[in-house]
Amino acid sequence: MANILVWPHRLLLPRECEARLVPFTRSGGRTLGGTRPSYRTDMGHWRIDLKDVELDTIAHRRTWDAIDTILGGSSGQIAVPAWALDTAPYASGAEESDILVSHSDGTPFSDGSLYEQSPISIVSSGTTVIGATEISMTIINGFADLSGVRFSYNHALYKTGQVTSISGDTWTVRVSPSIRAQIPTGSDLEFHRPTCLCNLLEDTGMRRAANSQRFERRTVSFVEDTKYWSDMAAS
Amino acid sequence: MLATHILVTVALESGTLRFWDGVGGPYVDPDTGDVYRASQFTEDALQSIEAAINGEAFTLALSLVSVPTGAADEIWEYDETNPVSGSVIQISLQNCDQYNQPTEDPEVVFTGTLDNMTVTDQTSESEEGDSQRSTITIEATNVFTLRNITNRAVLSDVDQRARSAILNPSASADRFCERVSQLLSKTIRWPNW
Repeated sequence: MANILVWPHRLLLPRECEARLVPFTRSGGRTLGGTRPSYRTDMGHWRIDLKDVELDTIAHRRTWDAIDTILGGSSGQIAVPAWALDTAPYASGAEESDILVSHSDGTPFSDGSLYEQSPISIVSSGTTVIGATEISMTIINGFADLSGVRFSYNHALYKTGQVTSISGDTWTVRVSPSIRAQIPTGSDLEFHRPTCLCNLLEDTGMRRAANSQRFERRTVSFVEDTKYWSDMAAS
Repeated sequence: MLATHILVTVALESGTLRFWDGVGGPYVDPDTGDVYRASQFTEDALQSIEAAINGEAFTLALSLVSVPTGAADEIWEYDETNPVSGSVIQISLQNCDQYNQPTEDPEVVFTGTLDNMTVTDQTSESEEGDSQRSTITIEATNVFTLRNITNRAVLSDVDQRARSAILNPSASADRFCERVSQLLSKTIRWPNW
């Protein structure tokens, strides 16, 4: 997991981030009566569109091109943000930003940066195996409602469904898609800035032009790298 | 809503390939811990699986799409260096509940031996640039292949003995075609009383 490229979510900011789960259903088509029965084969995979990413400064454009170079087409991997700020279970019920802490004497690191911590702290309770569709989580610092939220663990993105049981701070919820990689007990789950390991949808997805205004907005589409999770599970 | 997974197992000499008909993550058999990769079959493949399940087919050609070129190259290389012919291929159906959790043991619906494995690369043109698509086709046969015989062919004694030796090894050789060579050039005359 060491060398996974992460999308610089503050620098390359999209106007809209659309993360959607694409289920795999089969259907025989529409009947004469007008109905279309369909059956699900698989819970599906994620697709993420980063719409209208602002490319305004030199730093924007250079970072964009560097990512394009590293990815080198649709086989390259990158962890793409799936925005969940609007639904994440913040303890206060409203959006919160990262918690920044200095050293005990009030000084920052030599470059001026501070310790950073997610405002939400929720850990898994019990080991969740590959292919599971249910997970138990313990709330340490967060809003007491874990239905319909998104989270990621090791860049594998999930969303929760209905709650099946609540015992104290431990919530058991349905999760979709099926668990990609084992989640050991007590693992920190990322609710604040969930990410999803993706490939470019098309080889030339990150192409970019230069124009006379030196300003453009680019849309880039990603699809979940399910091959990686299969490789990880098999090894 | 129930779901059914199609599981395919190919026992190669160096290891076992496992894949299932899905688009998402891996599927792990809860009893054995075997990991099945998600890979997609072509429409023809589904049809031939169905024919195999109904016992109508004696051969089965399975095509997998969405295989990246790199992986196809590896398989090609493996095919070149290792014998794949004769490996056992098994197709099972796994019934699942509405949450995609298996409800019972997988049911084996087809067992055969691998006859051939081919890798096809296709190039198509598009506005975005040319794209390559690799397809891996697995050709499998089972004992019903022996029922297949070319129209108007003549059964020879040797063939028939070889067939019976495979179909029913413990029995004595089938002598059904013993006199075929005599009948081949036999002229039957109408009796003249």
